[in-house]
Amino acid sequence: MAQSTTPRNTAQTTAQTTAQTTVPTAAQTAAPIAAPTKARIISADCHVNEPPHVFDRVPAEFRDRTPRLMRGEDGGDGWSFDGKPPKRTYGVEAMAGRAKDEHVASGLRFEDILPGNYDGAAHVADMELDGVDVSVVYPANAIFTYQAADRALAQACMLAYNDWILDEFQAADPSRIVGLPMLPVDDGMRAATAELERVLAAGAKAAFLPGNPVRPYHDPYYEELWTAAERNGLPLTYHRTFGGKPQETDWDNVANNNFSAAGTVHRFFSSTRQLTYMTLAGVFERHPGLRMVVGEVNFGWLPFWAQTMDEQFENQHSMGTLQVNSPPSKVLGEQVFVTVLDDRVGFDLVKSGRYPYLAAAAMFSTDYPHSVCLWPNTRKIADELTRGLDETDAERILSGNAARVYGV
Amino acid sequence: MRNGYKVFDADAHVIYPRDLWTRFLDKKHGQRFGRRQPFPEFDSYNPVTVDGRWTQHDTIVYGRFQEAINWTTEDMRRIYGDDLLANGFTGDRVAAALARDGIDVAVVYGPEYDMWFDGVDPELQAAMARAYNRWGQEMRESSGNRVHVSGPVPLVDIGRAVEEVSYAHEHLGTRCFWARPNLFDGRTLGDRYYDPLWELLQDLGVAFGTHEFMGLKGRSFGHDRYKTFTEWHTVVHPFETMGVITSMIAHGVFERFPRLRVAYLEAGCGWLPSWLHRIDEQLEMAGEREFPELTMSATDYFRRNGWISTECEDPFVSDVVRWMGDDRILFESDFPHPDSKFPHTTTEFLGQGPEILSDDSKRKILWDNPVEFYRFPDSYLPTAFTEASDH
Repeated sequence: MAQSTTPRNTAQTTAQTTAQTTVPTAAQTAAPIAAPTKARIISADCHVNEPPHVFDRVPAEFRDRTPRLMRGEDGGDGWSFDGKPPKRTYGVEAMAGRAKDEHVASGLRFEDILPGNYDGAAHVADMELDGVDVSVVYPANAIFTYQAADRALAQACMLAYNDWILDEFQAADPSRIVGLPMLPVDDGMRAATAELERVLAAGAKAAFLPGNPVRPYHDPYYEELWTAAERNGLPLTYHRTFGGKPQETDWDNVANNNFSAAGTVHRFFSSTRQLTYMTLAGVFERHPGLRMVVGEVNFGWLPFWAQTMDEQFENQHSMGTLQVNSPPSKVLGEQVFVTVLDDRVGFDLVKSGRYPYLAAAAMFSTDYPHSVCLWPNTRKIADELTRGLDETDAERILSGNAARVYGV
Repeated sequence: MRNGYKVFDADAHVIYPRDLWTRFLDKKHGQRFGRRQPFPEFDSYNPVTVDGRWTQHDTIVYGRFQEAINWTTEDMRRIYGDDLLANGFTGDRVAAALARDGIDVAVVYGPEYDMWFDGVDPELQAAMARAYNRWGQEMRESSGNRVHVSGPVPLVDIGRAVEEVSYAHEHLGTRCFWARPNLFDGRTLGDRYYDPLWELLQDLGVAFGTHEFMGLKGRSFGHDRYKTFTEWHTVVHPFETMGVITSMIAHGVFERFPRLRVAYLEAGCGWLPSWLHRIDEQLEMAGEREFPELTMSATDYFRRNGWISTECEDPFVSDVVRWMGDDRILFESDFPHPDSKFPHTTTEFLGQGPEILSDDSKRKILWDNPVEFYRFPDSYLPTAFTEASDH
């Protein structure tokens, strides 16, 4: 029988916790390598794994229906959205602190994962260990709020998450954590813009949009949101595969999902369609102050994408049928940004010096605490990736672009 | 009035004035509309464009359906007369025309396409709803409260939907609302996204209807497989209605809003008892797990919250009466669309034999049931009734 997991003392740091539980320390696994680079590093794409109390602030009428962290049938802990044992338990989303050969897909308990997953102070401690100065933090299971059928409950949980990420997690050190509150874009623009104003007043430096919204982002439906974000100077983000239901699942439906085609496609190309339509529909030209960051999509593909869009612009501009007046690639590094991991192709392209917008558009990231994360070797990897790079370009990618966009 | 029966037409239409949008819309949007046939001398119905895009499905725009059903301007002139065709479907003229058929009061549903197409600007959609309701107010007043207009709900942005319903109710006198039953943004009308709308309609105590019009520029049943009028028109009206009834019942709209009144219009009706029975069978199998909040059968939800309309000559209305009684059936003329039997709708309806409908059922369907469904204020209903002039 599934049992609710007892909330932990979220003030524990990694060091405190590892002394009491089975959480592996960095020293026990992959020891961090001395940081060879002195450059400031901002990880523009990290994540939380929410603590059990994340939805405690919902109004009383919803409390018996909020998702619960519960024990799963495999002995691990996971989030239950229907009161029944969770369909999956912690695994790939909380691998920070484990050597690659100790990675598991699921089966971990809450006490097995680093407190940096859910506690702001512990998160900063893990950043210290890794040599990361600022962390931009995306949600995890709280994105269920974009798919839940019960919209009143979903919105209540979304607001509770937003309160938690700003009032607790980010509040541990607002100079080093950028928490991303979620905007209910699928519940009408009144709800979305109201929440934008609310989280802005609560200290938000940016806001999260679902990667799979009900309506695509080039739809005029979003004009109010773009206007509000632009007026308030609030950057917006979305993250590959995060939030909402993919609209086109035909190919996956007929595939043997034992291979990672979906992950490959989503990782590298999930943003191209959305960004292309937004750009060509004139969203960025109509809102020159709008800044959009797309998480975990890397950047080796950007030159080809930019070339293709600009070719279309050149071919059609004289026909008067376009909704933009400037070459579309102009948005890169000015209004459109992407977060990158160890994308060696992308870094080589920057070194070539042929695509100056790459260094202006890319934001380095560690993806802590997911299975592909660079932690605790971020400094070493950053040094390898930026070796031979123009110093200014390296600075912009490692921290400058994120600092400029997020104001940190 | 026909043969002593008072007649409340629950579902009629008009041919809209060409300046509907430019005249009633806020000026900032007026220049976004146009009319454009796909080819010179091509005759497709009401080819309105918004921002240069047709507002109807390509199958309609290019389908030559007007030719297929042999429905020309001359046909309309013959049936509806020179005055309506030349001077427009104004409130007084529509009321006079309907009176020829014995119809004492009617509710008009529209617009069919102009504000429902995929990718419509939500601000424009809301502005169009307001413009349409302004026109509706003029229709009602110029008809002497004989012709009422159902207010379209701009579904795209639920915040705007609530605002427009509130505005129309408070400022324009609109007392019933409607929306197309189709899938918009992947949502059925059962989606909880729309709960604020149902809550408002229930609180206002006003009726809501769904009405399909073949040709949505978007997704509707059959759009992906049919290119002929015969196939698509056969399928799309009942299938969309079956679909929306299923979703609204299963997703608990009537459980959460037990005082909501919803009519499903222009979709036939003989299939209804069987369809509700089918929903009940599925709920018996999977309802406990998939829709645990439901406390009643689909049939019982419909009996409490639903109404269905019947055309004037549909003998299968008797099956609805047999299985569900005669309290939830509404009469519709479909004036002035090509499939309407105008000016003989009431004659045809009353001409159905007692094996189809009893006199008491006819009275209820023609008047009592629509009165109960719409629950218009007394001032919206006629006090004088005159026998129809045409026979």
